[in-house]
Amino acid sequence: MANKTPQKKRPGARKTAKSKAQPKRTASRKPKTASNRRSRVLRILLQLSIVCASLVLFWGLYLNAIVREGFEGRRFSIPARVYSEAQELYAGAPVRRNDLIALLEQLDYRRVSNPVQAGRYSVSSSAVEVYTRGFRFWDAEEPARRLKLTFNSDGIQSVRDQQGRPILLTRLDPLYMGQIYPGVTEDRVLYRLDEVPERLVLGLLLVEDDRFFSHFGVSVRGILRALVVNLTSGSATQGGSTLTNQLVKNLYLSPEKTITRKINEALMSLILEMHYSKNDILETYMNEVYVGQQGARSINGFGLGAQFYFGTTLQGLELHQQAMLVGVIKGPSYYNPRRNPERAEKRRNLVLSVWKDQALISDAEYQRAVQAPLDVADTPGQAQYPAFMASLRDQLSSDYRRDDLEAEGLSIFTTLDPVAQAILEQNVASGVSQAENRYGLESDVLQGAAILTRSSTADILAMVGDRNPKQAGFNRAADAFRPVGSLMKPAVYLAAIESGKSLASKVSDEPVFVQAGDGKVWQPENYDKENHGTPMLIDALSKSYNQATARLGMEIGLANVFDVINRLGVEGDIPPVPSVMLGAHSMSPLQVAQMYQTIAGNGFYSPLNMIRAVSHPEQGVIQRFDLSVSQRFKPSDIHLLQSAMHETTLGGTAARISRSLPSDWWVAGKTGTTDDNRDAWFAGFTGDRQLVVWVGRDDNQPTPLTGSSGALPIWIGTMAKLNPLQERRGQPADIEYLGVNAKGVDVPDWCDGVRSLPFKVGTGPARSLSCQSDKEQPETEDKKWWQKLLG
Amino acid sequence: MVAKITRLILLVIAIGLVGCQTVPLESTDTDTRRQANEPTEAQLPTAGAEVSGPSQASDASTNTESDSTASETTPTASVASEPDPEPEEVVTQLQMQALQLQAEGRWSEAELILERALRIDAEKVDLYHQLATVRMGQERFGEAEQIALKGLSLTDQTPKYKASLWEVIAQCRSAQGNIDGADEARDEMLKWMSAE
Repeated sequence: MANKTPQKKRPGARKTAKSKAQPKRTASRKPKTASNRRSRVLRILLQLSIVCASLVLFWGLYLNAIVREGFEGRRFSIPARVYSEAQELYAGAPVRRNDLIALLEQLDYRRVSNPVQAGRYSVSSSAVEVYTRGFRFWDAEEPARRLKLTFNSDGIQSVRDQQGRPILLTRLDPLYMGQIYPGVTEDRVLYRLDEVPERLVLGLLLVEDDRFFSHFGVSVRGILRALVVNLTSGSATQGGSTLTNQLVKNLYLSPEKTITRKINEALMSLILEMHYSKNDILETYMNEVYVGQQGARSINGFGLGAQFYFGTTLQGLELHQQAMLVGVIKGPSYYNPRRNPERAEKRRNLVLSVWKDQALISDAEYQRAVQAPLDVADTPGQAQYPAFMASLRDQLSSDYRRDDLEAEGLSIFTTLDPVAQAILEQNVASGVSQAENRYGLESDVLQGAAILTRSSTADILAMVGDRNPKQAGFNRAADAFRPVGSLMKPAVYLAAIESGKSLASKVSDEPVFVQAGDGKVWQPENYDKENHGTPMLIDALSKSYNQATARLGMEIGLANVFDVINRLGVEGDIPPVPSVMLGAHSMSPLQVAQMYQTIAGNGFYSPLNMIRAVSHPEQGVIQRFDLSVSQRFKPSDIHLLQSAMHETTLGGTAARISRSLPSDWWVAGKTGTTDDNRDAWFAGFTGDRQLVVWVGRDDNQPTPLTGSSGALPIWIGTMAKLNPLQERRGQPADIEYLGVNAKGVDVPDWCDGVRSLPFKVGTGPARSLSCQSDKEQPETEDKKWWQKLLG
Repeated sequence: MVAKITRLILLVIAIGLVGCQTVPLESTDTDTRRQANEPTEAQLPTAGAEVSGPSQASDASTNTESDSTASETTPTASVASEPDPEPEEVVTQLQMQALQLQAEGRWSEAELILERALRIDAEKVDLYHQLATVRMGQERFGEAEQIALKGLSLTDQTPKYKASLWEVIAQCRSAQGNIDGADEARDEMLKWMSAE
């Protein structure tokens, strides 16, 4: 051995052997004395060990940097998670029984006969009992608890706890909608160690690393034992891995099995243990450990594992489920309880027997647990809201760096209402198909988009950007810019009302020619190609007369109309041409929703919002979107406009609403149809809900649809299902209602055909005691601009 | 020295050897039959700590189909002494919570609660009044004024609400140096106060 050493180590020794006169090979062949040889060997060994030591030192420093950076970073290297609005539960909440059941299914609650575990519910003829999961919201923590809900036709009648005591207010956990960027595939939910059931922690240690609290990251005993077992049994069945080793492996190392990797693993484990407490390591392990796979999504951590396999929370796991979760770590694919139930059950029972042997559980508990079925939930559905998520990404990307969204573990609480979203998706899909059938169109030629908001808060509750709502890609709700047609008309009438006209003011519907700026003559025609004399403003709007509206707009002045359009919240460059008044301007459904939000919001502009709060795992809430309102119009002016838009739904182009929806609903809206019926729109509001619907073709070709026949049925179908709470409609202090006849004259109430219309105090029409008074209001039309134009 | 190095090398080799072993997925028996070694920082749970309902195992096996009689056997059926709260009480309760937070100057927490209340009842004028006072507490007077104005546009015509909203508006306008506007608001306030 001594003979070989100098030769073998020659390269390492070369540097230090410079001083030697004859470091030639021939020299070593000469016989030497024993002491000479020993000292030479010793010297070389010393030199070697110095080199080795410094190598190890540098390597250690390098690993140290990796370990620290990786661990600190890793603990929060979690992509942002997006959540829906949570369903509020209280007596009187307007959520009906079937909607709640559908929501529970969406949330992956499991229907059982007796919900004794979080994430379960039962249905009986009289009640729905639900064991909520509890959730850490941005504003407060909601505990998991068992509730009994009863319903009446309007919604929830009572909410009581298990003792029968009424619960004033609570909420379900929100729906997890996915990650912001779909490319990120690792998914996990962080839990603090103190939130993990004690028995699960102990059970994990018993099975995976029983000496965790006494070793230093590497278990020499474990290694030796593994060696002995492997050598004696003649097969490689034992690994000496500690939890720390496993964590290091997961965090930093590739899955290959080489000696270098093993050595690195051991060194890094030692370093990790040096820097961090046992509890930190254990907590990270439990959040990090790989427990399953769903398509490209890797399920990490016990918290998500509990949800993924059993549809419940970490705290809600039953004993046998805890054992399965601990058991599955060894091989999430091999022991997959969904695919390999026998193997999984064997593994689970093995874990249970270890727990029993080590007195973690009693005999009775063991017996009960091994007899329990695996009880695995169906593979959870992955919520898909491509339109909403795409718009959310747009909004977030202006405030956050992509890196932060992918790594900071943010929770993004949105305004999406899963119940409303499901209703809207279903209605857009079926409404578009029905329109195709009704008009004998080829299937799949039409497309649709829709946006539902809560008028009072401007929250976007639902968004559909494709007739196949789960189809990612072109989000028509936000990105399809189409001419809006008559949806723009309310701006013209609002400008007229602001200028002092009343709803009973008359306007001529005679043909109109306007010299446009570019030398062309703009000559809008009515949809039915007829002239309608001199209707009152309220009828000209509700019946959507183009000629009357063009005349009215020209009289009021384009500048005023454009000012109103701007104040309504329509942004961007609008060409200053008169045809904009009849909707030549292209807008997205989202922009229309913003414009109509101001009308539905009583003249107050509020930016549409889809984010409630963004919270950081350590810093708490880092961003919130406060209620923001700014008055753009006088309440009385808006009240008049709303009344005219209400008339649209009674006797105007959207009269179908009064025939289809309950008569006690108060609905206001406007149809929109563009040239050659290329676009069918309806925008309107009722209760505290506003909905915009667009139907048309992607290739912008003509269709046989109008706003009333194409978009309105979807609007009606959706609202009928949503059944928004109907509030009594208010009335500004400076509004009075007067009875007018068809000529727009204020006549006694007993007259036939008298209509009650709102007026701003002091702007009422001429008064007459004769029902037949034809003392017409002076025609509103001011001839001056007209005469000017025609020369 | 030599001995130390030798030991180190041996340890490395030992680790390496173990590393070479593949860990097969079956034969877990030996792996799990380790000696119990209770961590010093944790106690074994008491018997009842994690025990759930006695019938869960059998329930679980029949879980997918609902059973209309099952929930009637739960103890909740008999107890129904207290009446159900009215929806208004929910909002009132939230308003009280917010008021408490306002008293402590915890404005944004108060706002969170009020916004939650607003989502439950968008037509409650009182909520707009309270939200406006929160904004005043945050010294965001322009926004406070706008919220109060929005409150005025709601259905509820109760004079005392109108008066209190105008009062907020007057204060906000004063704070922003709009003395004329504040005077007008105060006139409105007096008008509604006398209307009561």
